[in-house]
Amino acid sequence: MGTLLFMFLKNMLKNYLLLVFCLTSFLWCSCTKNVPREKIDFYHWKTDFKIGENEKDILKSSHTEKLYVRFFDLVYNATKKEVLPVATLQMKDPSWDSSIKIIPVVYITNNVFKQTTDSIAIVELAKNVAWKIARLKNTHFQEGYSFDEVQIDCDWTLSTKAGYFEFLEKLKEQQYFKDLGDVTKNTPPKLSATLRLHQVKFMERTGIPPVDSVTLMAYNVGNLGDSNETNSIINNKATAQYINRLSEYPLSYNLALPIYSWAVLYRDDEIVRILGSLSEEQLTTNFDPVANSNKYVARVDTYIDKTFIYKGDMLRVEKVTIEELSALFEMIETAAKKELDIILYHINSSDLNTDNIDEIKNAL
Amino acid sequence: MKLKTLFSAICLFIITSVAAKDVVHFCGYSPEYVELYYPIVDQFIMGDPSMSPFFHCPLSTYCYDTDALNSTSENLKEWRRFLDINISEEKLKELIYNTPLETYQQSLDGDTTVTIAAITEDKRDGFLRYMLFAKASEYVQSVRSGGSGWRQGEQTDDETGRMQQLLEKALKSYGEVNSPFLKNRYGFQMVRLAHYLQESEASIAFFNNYVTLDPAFPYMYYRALEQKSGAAYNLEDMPQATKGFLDVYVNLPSRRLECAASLRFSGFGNLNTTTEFDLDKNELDAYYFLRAFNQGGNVAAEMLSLEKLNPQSKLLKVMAIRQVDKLQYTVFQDLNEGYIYYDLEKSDIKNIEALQGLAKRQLNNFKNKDTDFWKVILASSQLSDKNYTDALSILKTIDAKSEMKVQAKQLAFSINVLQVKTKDRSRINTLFLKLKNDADLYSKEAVSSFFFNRMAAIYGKENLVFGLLGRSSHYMNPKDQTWATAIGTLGSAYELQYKNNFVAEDAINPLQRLIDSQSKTDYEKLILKQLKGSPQDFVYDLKGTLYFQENRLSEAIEVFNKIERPFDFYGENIRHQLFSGSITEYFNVSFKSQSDGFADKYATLFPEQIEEGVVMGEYYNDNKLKLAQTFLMLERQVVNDPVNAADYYLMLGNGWYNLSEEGWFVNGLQYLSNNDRNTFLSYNYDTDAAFDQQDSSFINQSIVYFKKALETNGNKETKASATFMLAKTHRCAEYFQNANYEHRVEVCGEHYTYFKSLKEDYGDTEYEKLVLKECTWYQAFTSK
Repeated sequence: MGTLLFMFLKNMLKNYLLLVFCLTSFLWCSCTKNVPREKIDFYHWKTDFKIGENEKDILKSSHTEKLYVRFFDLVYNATKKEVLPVATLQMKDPSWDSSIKIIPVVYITNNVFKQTTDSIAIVELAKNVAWKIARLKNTHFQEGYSFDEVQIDCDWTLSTKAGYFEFLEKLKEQQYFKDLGDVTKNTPPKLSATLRLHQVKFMERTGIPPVDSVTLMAYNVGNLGDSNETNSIINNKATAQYINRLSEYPLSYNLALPIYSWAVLYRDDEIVRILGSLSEEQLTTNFDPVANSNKYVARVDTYIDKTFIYKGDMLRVEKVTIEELSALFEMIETAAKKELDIILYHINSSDLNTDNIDEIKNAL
Repeated sequence: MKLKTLFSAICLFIITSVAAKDVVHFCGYSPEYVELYYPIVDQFIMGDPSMSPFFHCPLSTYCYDTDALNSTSENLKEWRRFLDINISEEKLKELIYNTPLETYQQSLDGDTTVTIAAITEDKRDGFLRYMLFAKASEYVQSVRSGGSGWRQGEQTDDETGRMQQLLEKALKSYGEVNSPFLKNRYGFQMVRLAHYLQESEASIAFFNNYVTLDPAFPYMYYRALEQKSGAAYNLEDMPQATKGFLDVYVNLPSRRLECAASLRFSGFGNLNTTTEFDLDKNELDAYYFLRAFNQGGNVAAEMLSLEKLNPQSKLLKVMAIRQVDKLQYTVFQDLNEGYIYYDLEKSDIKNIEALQGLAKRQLNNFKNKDTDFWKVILASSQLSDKNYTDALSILKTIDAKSEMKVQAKQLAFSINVLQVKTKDRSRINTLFLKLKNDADLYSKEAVSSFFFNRMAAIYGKENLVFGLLGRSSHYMNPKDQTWATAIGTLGSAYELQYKNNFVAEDAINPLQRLIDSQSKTDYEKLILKQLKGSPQDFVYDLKGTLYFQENRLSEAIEVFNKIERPFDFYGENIRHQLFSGSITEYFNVSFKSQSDGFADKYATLFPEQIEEGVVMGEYYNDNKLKLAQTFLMLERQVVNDPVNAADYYLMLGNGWYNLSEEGWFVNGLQYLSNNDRNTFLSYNYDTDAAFDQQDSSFINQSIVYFKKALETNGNKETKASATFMLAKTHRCAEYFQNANYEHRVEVCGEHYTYFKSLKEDYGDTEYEKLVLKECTWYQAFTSK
């Protein structure tokens, strides 16, 4: 056991050294970089497809080439005991710059593959997914429109790896899927998948998905349930512990970075809920700030965003600063040892506007 | 027709219509909690089954996969009563849910070849017409949310027009039928269709004018009320929506989950119950419960409100068992921290204190009929402050005939397990025998697994292998497991696959002492049995491997010779190829394709041949005894054949290198295949492995021999090879990247020195030319 302890301590030391290395690396890069990023792609994650004037300006100034649009989610319906789509994309006013390619994204909860394990059901699932994307394409896009890529977003785990990977294999085989691409050239769309940081670090255990490329999602890395967490959306110290093998990753990848905010409510150090919409006025009226932190304590009992808040409850307001975003990007690109395309999550974020998009481009 | 599908579509609509935009998908790691805790006190036995979706399920708002989710039986029950027919449940289900539309139509048209269950004439026509209508409207979807099913969200204008026609037809049919039962069904369809067409006011009006509560057939009334409440929500009439959903929640168990979800998004928690709407006692009961359940309300305060309103409330009991399960989440963990993803030590003390007070008052209330339930709750709550004595005393007072007796027994046993803090062998064995001999205990997976994993962790503190052998998986959750099932997953911990961690005195010696013990307990015997083969052989294999790794070859040979069944641990022969070298290693190709074939020169020293397929199978386990003997033989050859001493040293160096974690034959002495190499190399622990040479005894051994190869008699080619291998074994490199992201590697330290020597001293050898051809780092070095 002494040997194991020694190995553990040794590795701890190496962790520290790696972190110092990473921080040093991106500090150096930060000091030297002065060319703004030319192109940024985006996610669109709302159910109602909405590209307003603000979003159009952002896309234009970002020279966006691809808009990753969430088409629908797949969840396991416990009542029906079957996997079904929800929150299907609504495109009442599909006005977007047609030069921007739409990439359909399907979010699949991990539970789907806990419940769907036999091969027949997985093939059926793949067929239904491809068919539904095809129907949405036919409904919302002009005839002849083709998708260059389709992305599947699923945070698979050890127990769901087999089912999920089989699903990806079968999806590619579906004729409906192949027809999503350019049929005149007989070119099916590329299939991509999202990748979490732990799936990089433990790539042997979690496996490499059978896809053409992946998108590394470098956010939501903190422990949301921990009241001592400082920021669960972006945490560069935690991220540093996951990326040292990034350059070894055997698939090509791009990088998804966050630009959004929320507030996390805790009571007795336990998480109660995430408050997605909290105005500055609600914050100042009901909460006292905790010095030198992003935390606030409820001054009075109140009810905000369908949630009871009691005097003494703790609120942590989590945002992504441009400095943190820049540091995150530099750290990951250094670990990747190559230039990475970026997708920002998400285009409808209230933290994104025409005033700060140039600042973001300069930082990335 | 598939009414079940239809009804589910309705419910999903309501949930999604109010919820879709607020759904937050977390993109971080989703751990699985199945191995986190042991639900000793079983909510699903203690609580009202119809409330099971609202029990505590970690990481999930609702508990799914429970029997309480079925509305089919409620619907069938009403059809049976209305049709007044005596057929089996399966046939009735077939008639209502699975009969094709065409069959109804043919029957209505008088086609006698079609078989429809015997329905009396007075009801036959009305039934068939309604089923035809219901079948036609089965898949209608909400204009707003798009309904459910695979076509969710794919509404078209044609479909909207069809829904309007259906609504017209429903109104007409309502006027044509006389049966109040069928009128209510058509009424429901009108409410639903108007709701889905976003005609909210009309939907409410249809409900008020066309749907009535018939106590004999309440099901469809509440289904319609749920639809009407959804319409009220769309009109932002929150009092009306809330009261309606609460009413359905109280009176229709199969719709509770959906109504709770709808209420969650109605933001009902802030409504003033005295001025904004009147709630009856049952609705208020649900109101308090749901405020705590899904509005972030104060659990302790809402429990008190519920108690004040109705001490016998079944929802109060649900709140109590939820708190007990949350407490279990922190109390009944095993001690193996590797399995714990969450630290929930900071439990909600206020809620537990409130729960204790509540349980005590319940027990003092002479009207209370659930005394034993509250005794289990009170005893459980004592665990928050480790008051095991009081908890056990309370449990002892539960009568042997009580329904709670088994729960009490399981809880008391688990408390006894909790009380074991050290390796008290006798006490642990007593508990083991108690478990083994009492089906009330071992039949519950949580109880048996808690015992095994807790004890495994205690033993594992000083005996790593035993601790792992004693672990039990506990996520299968079989009901009424047998003793064989209870012990069925012992010895299957995944860490046992990584035997390399056991090649250490710290791991071997405690296991040997236990094997030598003459007074092994029943528990210890059972756990040792998980080794399947002979425990002594298992230890010999580890010990021999340890000696081998330390180059104590004679001692290793002596130990390997003691193994009675050696082929349980390794193969029959060795692969002499491992004494050859390679310039580059790509682990997804065979070694032979990279090998310099050096050892083939001395094939006569390795007379035993293995089949070609086996030779390069990375999982082949070389015979360790013969391998150790071969290493010794090569050492002797240095003396016997001094002219070629450098060759023998080079082969020994190659052997150690190839058996190292850097080499292709890592499986030989380290129990790991090439695919597991990264784990072994500690890549998972944040080391920058590509540029960090391991501090490895294998590499160090190889360096000793490569240096000897340089220093002793031998030809220049051999020495060039040894020089290159010395560069490899002193890996030192710096990585550079310019502004154009072009990469460059520069070697440093002794790596540089040996490269320099290879270039300057052995530049005229064939081997150096081969290195120049194959090794990019060397190419970069020479091109500078």
